Amino acid sequence: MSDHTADPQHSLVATTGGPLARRAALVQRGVVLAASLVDGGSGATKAPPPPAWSAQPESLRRMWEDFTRGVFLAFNQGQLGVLVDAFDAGVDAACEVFGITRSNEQQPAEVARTLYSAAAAAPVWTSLDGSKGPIFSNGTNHLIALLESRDDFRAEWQEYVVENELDGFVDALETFLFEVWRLATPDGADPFLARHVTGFVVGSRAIARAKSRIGRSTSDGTSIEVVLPALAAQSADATIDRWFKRPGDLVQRDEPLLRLTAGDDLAAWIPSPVSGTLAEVRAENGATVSFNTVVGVITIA
Amino acid sequence: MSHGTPEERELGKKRAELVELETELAQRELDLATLAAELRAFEVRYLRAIGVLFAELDELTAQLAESQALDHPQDAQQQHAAADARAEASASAEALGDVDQQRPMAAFVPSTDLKRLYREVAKLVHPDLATDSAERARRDRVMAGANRAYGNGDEARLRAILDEWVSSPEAVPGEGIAAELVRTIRKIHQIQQRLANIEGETSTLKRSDSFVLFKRVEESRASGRDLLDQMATELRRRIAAIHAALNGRRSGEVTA
Repeated sequence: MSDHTADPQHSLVATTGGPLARRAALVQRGVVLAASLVDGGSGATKAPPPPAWSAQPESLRRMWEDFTRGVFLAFNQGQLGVLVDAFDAGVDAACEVFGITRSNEQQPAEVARTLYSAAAAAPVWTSLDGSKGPIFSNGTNHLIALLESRDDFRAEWQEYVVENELDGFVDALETFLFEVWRLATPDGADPFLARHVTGFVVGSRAIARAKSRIGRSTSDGTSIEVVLPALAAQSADATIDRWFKRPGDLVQRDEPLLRLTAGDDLAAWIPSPVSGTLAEVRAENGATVSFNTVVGVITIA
Repeated sequence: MSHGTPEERELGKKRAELVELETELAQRELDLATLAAELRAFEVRYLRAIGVLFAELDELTAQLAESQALDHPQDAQQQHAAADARAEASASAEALGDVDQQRPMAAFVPSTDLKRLYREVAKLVHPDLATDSAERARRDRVMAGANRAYGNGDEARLRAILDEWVSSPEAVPGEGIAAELVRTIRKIHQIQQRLANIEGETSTLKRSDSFVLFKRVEESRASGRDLLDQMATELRRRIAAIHAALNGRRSGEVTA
């Protein structure tokens, strides 16, 4: 077995006595102290339970749908234009959240700047600690800079995404949307969806990497089993959130088959490994499934 | 549709699979090395900022317990408490042993170049790409060096490792389709094993207290607070309280 990461410099987890174990004890006391300061004590920082999906404003729900679709298609099919659309939809939703009227004549950069000042002036910042917008600025400033350097938002931006790293673009978009969500919840809560914005990007990347392992041919060769690929190191299983298809439905290769969540905040869609007919669903909505198990069967078209 | 002998076709397929796995492996190794380096940097930062305060608190607590025990030489419980407190204080002091001598530790934030370099090295050098034990040992050694260089943010060293590897004669592969096929399949298997191990190592790290604390500190920073600072404030408050108790005893002397 490979053990090149196991040299002493790299071992963080103390397993024996001596200074290392004593250090571990000091760190453990820190965890306890930190917990008492964050959870107990002031109590001001404890996040309230996230609002239900249906209780989210319509604009945010739409934004989430567009965003997830964009990320999925960009990673799994290389369709970058959808990401630009997703951002556009995000700006729309954010305008609604902050009560900004967006006219067609306005350049996207202008809209983003207005948004930024609206967000920076939002009471949520002053209620946090008085230092305005350092988090918001990371994603938005990046996007504003991109927008300002281009006249034709759509065409040129797509070019930009192709030329530069898709990852960097998705990161900026992710930060931007995450911030809009945070700001849209006036009490500074960290809602379910905001968590999943980041988790969806991570999950989608993992799925895109593991794509070749999603389909597995059955012994008679007429069908393909849909295997849940490992999504995250920190959890051994995932929960099926929703099947987009029912048995008997036709599916295209790469079309989203089902949506799942793993761990605290990871989410992803599973693309169909082949074109055909969904013959069987072996794990229903809400089921918790170990990675690498078969969740459905598709008869090859 | 496809050409060549069955072996050639199989080799082609396996090679494609291997290429994909190599890329994934390099990324996973990078993620793991980054997490390990982040946690190591954080641990040192924590020990320097908070660990020392715990040690100071423990030292004062021991002094207080000893002073109380001195007043009650017949009270076995107080004698025990004093001994325990002293043991705890020396344990904490020992834990910090070489921390103070370490160079100041900034948070580990790898540059894009450093990450790219590491990925390249991992792709070429990874021990699970070796098919015999001597080769594996050599790769293990080089990879450990690469991990260290990465953790130290030493771009020049990483580049040197990469250059050295690329120009070494052993990097030249052998030939023969059948042998090549066997080698490829073996590599694929080894990489899959290593990927599973990386997941294990990652989740071990993520279950560690250091990670829990690291996350907490990161989260608090995202909401504009400095958790380490808050912890330090709280510990200083406790230290001051014990100081006061100690001073009270010293000035009041034998009042018990």
